Amino acid sequence: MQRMQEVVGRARAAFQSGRSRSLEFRIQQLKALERMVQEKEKEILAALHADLHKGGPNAYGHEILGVLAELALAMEKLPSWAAPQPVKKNLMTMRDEAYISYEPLGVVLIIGAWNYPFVLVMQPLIGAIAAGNAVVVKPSEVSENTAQLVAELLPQYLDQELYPVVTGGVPETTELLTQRFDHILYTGNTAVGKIVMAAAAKHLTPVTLELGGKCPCYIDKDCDLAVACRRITWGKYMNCGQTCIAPDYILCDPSIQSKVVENIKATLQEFYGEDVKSSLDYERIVNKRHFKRVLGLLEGQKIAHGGETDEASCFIAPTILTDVSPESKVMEEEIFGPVLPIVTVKSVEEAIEFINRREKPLALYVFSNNKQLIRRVISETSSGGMTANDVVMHSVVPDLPFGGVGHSGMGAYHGKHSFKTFSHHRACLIKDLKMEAMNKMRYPPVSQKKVDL
Amino acid sequence: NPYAGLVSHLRASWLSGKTRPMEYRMAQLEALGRFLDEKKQEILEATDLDMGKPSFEAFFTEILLCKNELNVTLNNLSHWMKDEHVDKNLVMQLDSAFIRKEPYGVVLIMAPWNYPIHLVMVPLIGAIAAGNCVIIKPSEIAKNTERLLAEMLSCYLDNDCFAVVTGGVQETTRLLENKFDYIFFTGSPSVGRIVMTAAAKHLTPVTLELGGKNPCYVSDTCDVPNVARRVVWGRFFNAGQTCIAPDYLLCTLEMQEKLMPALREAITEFFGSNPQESPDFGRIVGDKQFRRIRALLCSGRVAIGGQTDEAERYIAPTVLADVLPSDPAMQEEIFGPILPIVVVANMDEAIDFINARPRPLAIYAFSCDSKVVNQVLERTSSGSFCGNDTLMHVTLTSLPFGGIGNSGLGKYHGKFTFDTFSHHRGCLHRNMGLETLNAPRYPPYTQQKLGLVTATFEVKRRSTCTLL
Repeated sequence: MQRMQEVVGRARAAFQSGRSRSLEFRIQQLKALERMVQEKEKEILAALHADLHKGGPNAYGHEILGVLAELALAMEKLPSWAAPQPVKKNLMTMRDEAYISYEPLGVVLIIGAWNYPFVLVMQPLIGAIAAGNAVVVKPSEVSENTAQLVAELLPQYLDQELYPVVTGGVPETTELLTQRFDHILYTGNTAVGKIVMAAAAKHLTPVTLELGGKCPCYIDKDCDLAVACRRITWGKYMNCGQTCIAPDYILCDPSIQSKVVENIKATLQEFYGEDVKSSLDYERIVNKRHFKRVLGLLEGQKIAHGGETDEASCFIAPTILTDVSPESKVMEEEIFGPVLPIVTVKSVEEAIEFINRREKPLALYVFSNNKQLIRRVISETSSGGMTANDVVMHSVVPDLPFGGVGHSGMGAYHGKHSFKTFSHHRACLIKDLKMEAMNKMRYPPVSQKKVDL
Repeated sequence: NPYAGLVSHLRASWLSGKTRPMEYRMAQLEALGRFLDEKKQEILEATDLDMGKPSFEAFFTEILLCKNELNVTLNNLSHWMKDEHVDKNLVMQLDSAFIRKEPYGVVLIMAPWNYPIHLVMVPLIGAIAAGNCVIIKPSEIAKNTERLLAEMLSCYLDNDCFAVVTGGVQETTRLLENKFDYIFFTGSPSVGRIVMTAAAKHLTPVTLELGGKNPCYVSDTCDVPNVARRVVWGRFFNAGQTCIAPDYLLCTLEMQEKLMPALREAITEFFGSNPQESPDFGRIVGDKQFRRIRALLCSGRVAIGGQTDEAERYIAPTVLADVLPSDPAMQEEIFGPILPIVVVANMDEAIDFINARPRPLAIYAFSCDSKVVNQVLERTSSGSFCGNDTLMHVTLTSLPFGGIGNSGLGKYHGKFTFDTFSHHRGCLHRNMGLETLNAPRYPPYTQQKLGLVTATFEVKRRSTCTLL
């Protein structure tokens, strides 16, 4: 208890010193982060490989590239993001100054996840620093090599009091959550999301929760199946299916189900070769517990492709299930593994109904040549975000807010949305101490004349 | 659960999609406008019965300000509802990237008693504009207004999509057990915690408009009569029962001496020599609240006012001098017509005093020297800030209204209310062609492919480009 109190207390004292307020300081810290990512690239890639069996160019593309882009964007835009924003005035305030001042919240807590362990800690951190806060970073203990590396590296490059790293598992995180923060950003699952929000409620701390769910993927009969399946295969099996916005399951007409399977099989061959297990580009399940969990989802299912596993290396082959029953276990929880169920539906209406009967997902996908159909799916469903005719890609558009809705989360970040999330938007009205005549209208005693005015 | 039926009825209406079209939302909003116009007398009477609210005040806050919000919303709704297109990178030039504003579903608005119509109406306007179904829970403490809303709103709004629930703590607790898609709460920090804890069980996002002690710093260089009038107006409006009222004054001993006669003069100017007889001064809402506020009078010394009349729940406009930080009046949000003055040596001490306390909903600073006003602004933190006046920042619909820390989370008014009750969904509509452009992202991964991906996605710092 004391250790957490000390760490957070030191960060708060450091914040109160005021040194994180100036734009120069914030940009200097962001530059230091940029140096860290560039100088320690080898170590970061090694940690990601140790944690998730992620290969070099893959890890670089998915974790480091995004971080460098976010850093460049923040350093470029910070002066304009942080500038006070004048607002439209009315008759009574015409001669006054009215604007929104963007101010730091104070001490922010970032809790990372294990599936993209570097970027999911770094990207929020960048926004929190840019907004002028002190930040306590808690990487996921499940991706222990990356957690260890982040704990070693951040103090070497950043202000040690303002941006401490706390490591540990459930007990340490529970203890940390008893402290008061001014914002908490949590990436993880729905169940723990509720725990985080309940802990935050005790201190009236605003939260951003990036959770999960089952992201549906509807394939219309009218579409280029080869292209659609290639894009879906890419998004589904990257990181061995352990991606919060991976297409979790497919909805399609029974008449195209076997073609979908054929196309995905062909793409898998193209991506990973004959022997997936020996491909450098195919990852592993993060640990035994999750391996067993995903394996259990295959029980009683019709395996159209894949299904091979190797517990010793936590390997699960890219797998496709067909004619899956909506009531089966694999359709209950977020899969977070390389298993792709196909549920058949007879129409887009049925697909929309199916999707709406379930919790709102983090992402939603629809493939069709028919623009009307796509517009309809967007309008008649809800999700954190969505991409039509591709998967995952909405998360890389810097100006789109990235977040969930309902059980998939609340709040959003990325780019300027991070800056806004980690800032207090303070309304400021500065009036003249003279010009009292104008005010006389509103003072008592009241006459009908005043009311009419 | 006694409300499960109501909630699921509204949810069914929500799923039917009837609240989505703009025409529907405009029609409901226009009906709210008619409510404010046609039931003006009833509103003034109910708020008068509930807390002796002067009719000018009631007209200003419960009708006029609400109509402003309504008109801003009606005038801009089609614009607010439009998809917001965003910048794209090289690879996505043929794609469409936009933010879609979507309603959450069934939302709950919980309002307090002090501005009982306004604090229902303004959030309700945004919730309807955003396309949601709404359950409204007015405060049971403002009994007459509660009854008015429960009886009247159903005559103006679509009963399939909008409902009023009445009751006290027990009913509210049961109501909060249901799943809502958004909860908007205005009230005290302690109840705010209860609401957020209940919301956490369903992962329901919330906006909490809470309270605190709003400090008011008066510097030595100021126009004393103007300051006095503006402070008196803000403090004694609604008999002090305003979440953004200046709660206490910070100034030097010299300024306290100068201000006192000016404050006395302003009070007399506004309310006459016997404020109890003025139609422009309100009453405390209930006996419990009256007794609580009266107990705060033994702080410092009563320099102006101090009279009370329990039968009428009247507390005179009161100014307390030489109040100490340990006095009762400085331990809780006053929410009554008492203005304590705490003497400080200078501006720095005032700023330290403010920063040693929980962040309030509003901070006020008065000075003829704009540097002083800016110093207070820059060196403190609060929901909002108003220089050289009180309360007025809330009348500007283009400014966000909300708290920070103990004074709340989230914000609203104007477009901010619409945005509060909307889910901002990031959407990317891609082209099915140009598949070759995607090739670099697919396995097998190579350095060469990585180079291509980097080139198309990376943001280059302007400074590096000037080298070329």
